[in-house]
Amino acid sequence: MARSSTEHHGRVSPERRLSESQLALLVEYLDGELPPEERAAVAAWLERDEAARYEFELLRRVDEYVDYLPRARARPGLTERTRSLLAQSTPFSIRAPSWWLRRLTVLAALLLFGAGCALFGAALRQATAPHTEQTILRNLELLQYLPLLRELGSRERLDVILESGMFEEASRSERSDGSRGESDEVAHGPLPGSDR
Amino acid sequence: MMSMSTTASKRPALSDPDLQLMLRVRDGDVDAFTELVAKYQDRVLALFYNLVGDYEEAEDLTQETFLRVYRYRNRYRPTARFTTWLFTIVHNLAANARRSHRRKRAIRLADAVPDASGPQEFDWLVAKSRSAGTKVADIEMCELVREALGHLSERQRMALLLHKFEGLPYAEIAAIMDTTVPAIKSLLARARMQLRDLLAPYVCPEGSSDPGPSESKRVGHAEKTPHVTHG
Repeated sequence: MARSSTEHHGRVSPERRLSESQLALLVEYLDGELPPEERAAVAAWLERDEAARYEFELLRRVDEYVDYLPRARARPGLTERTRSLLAQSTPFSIRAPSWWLRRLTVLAALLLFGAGCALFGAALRQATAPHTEQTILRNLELLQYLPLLRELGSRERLDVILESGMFEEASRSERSDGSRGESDEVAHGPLPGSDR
Repeated sequence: MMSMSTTASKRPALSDPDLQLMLRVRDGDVDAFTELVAKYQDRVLALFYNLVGDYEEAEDLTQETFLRVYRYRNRYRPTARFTTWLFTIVHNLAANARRSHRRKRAIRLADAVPDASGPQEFDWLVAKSRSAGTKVADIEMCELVREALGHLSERQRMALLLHKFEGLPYAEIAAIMDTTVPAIKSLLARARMQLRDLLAPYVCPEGSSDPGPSESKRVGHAEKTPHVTHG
């Protein structure tokens, strides 16, 4: 340990204060942080230097006084209180899931989200899309009278005719004529002059 | 092939008995967590108490330390000893508390020194009893040392407590405080010199009469006596 052994040859008056680096070296010595060769050199220095010895003794006693610092102890139940705090901070499960469980949870959440989206989409479609059957039924009547509508030129006129009942009578008589003709055909075969 | 001892020396954490416990905590084992809390709560609390000077706050910080151990358990890597990781959390929390104190109020450690007349609080504080010292003398000495400790910087205090309470070597303290070994050497040397200056009136090396702790001499206010009085 060249830095100290060469610096502190001879007897020094104890009134002489050591330098900061010398004191730091004594602290390291006190803390047992010096390698063996430096430790031996400091021990030799302390043997021959009274001032160093005095400072070392002062440091050692101050260090002992630090042992007077209180060692606070936990009040009974701190472990349990810490554990319950942990439970509060992780409300769903005190036992954290492992990585595969976490991934499974994420997957399940995604699936649930997807299913929810699909259900919502279907409901939305049903609520907003035009009802095809109802539309067809509504327009069926109109389709029946399409040639007449074309002839009349407007829906209003068609409605007036339909409301008058005139057309229904005509169609009823047509239907009764048609059924009679069909029964004749069944009984006597096709009538002469008919296309069939 | 690498021998077992070489492997162990390269990875000192492998010989750490708390490693398995912490690995169980990492897997979410709350019983292992409880075991760790029970094992280390006194040590963590003692550090915080001497760092922040208030028992209630020290207890809160102790609980927060262990909650962080659990919260950040996945970040624990068994490359360092468990205590290094634990005291790193303590160091960070103490630094946060210090910042928050600075914003709110100055820390007055002297105010928090346990009162000898209030045994209820002192029940939870155990000053290391000396064979010759009475309890009152111990409390008085404890006050003096705590008051002196209050004059150190926060980093000096942290380094000193880790060294004195936990018996940690400079290298481990440096790892905990995220600094270098020379920086820790310097911190600890300055801390000792400051304490020596503050406590010198009460400390007499062998050969001189020991003045002992006295109410009339308060740390930091005492008359500076010559450091070296031959005799």
